[in-house]
Amino acid sequence: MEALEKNQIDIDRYLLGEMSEVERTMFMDRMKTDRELAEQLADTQLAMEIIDVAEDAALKEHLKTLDKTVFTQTADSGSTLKVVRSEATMEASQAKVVPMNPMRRYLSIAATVLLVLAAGWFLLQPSSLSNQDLFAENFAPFPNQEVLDRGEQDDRQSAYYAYQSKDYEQAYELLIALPEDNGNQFFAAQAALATDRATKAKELLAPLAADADFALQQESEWHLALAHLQLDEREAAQAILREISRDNNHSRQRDATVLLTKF
Amino acid sequence: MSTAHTLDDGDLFDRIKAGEHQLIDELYRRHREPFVTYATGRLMANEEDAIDCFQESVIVFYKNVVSGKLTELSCSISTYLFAIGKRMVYKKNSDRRREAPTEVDDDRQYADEVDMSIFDRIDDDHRRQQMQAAMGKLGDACRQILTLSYYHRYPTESIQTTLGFSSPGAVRIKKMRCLQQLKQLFTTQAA
Repeated sequence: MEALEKNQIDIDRYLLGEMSEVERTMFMDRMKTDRELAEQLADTQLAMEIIDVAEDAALKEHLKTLDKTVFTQTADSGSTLKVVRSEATMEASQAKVVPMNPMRRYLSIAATVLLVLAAGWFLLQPSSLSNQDLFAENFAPFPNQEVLDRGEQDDRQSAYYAYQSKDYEQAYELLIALPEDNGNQFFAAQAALATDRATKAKELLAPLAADADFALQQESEWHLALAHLQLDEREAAQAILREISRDNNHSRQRDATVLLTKF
Repeated sequence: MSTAHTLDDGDLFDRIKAGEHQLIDELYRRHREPFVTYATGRLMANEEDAIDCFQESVIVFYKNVVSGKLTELSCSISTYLFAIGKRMVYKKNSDRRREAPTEVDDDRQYADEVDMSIFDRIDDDHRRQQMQAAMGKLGDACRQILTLSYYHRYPTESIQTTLGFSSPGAVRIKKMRCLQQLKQLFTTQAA
């Protein structure tokens, strides 16, 4: 190993707090007589300062973007930002801050894989996933748990049987032909989304999302947002998701919040 | 779907400490509104300053974790963040000559343990801009290796695996070259 490389190992251990007290003393003694080592140390310290400043700034920008995405109200919604008031209760227990110790974190394979995805704040770009990808990642047909009478083969039974069997093409054709009650419309919309019929899904879900008396109104809102995504109507999707993310009583609040950060 | 929101504070802390620094986003989402409410209601901060101070406190928290200054969390993350953020709000209020809040500083023990060098950021805007510019001119590969090594404090072996180097020695040699390049970029600007 070359001298410069050996020096760099020692310098990194010194600056990152990985040396014991004895090692630190020996290292500082070496620096008094080894000019090359002292210069290399100074260069590394300068580099660390630069990296610190730049990455702090990058992290700050990242948090600002996150803040705007998750917490900024839309200008045309007319709604006010809901502030969750909570008392800042200071607990009696003590935060333990210990002096810097040598730390070697040997990461598991799983954590290492995550490193590939999260190398540096500046590389944490907004998701490069398309609207279609985001839709695919987030959509799952809402489960229908109705107990069906297999002996009775009327149109309704057939439609929901097809839905429960995940035959969404047939389910869509059958559900669309049923009487237009909210339940039938909702599941028809689910089958529509599952079969790339986002325009029809949007048409079916819009009135359901506005019907406060409908038991699945919140699910309708969420799926309406997804229908917009599938149609590449990102702004419309974002507007709905922001409303959902601000509603602490919404069943999809967390899903909406997470999805918003991927835009 | 993400499971980050199901993690409790302890799990979140452990996983950030283990290298999953993207979980800072979940930490931010959880604690931002309570802090802003607290800072605007009790510390006389305006909303913009409260948000700014909270962002700074998250950065300090993260750096304390990766540097090894904070290895255990025996209180909630919010307690820790609030203590840091509160000090920052006090400083901002002082800088703006705002009225001092009358709240008793009963969490002095947490704030005192915080590295107060957070306030010793490089105040020279020009120097700071030069540093950012130098970093911006580095190639992606160099920026990745230096950031992982010195900002996120990942061990050489993990960087080797992540970035596909053949050996720890190859990582060290590349890192040294990148350090030289960064120094050159900065000193050329500064000259």
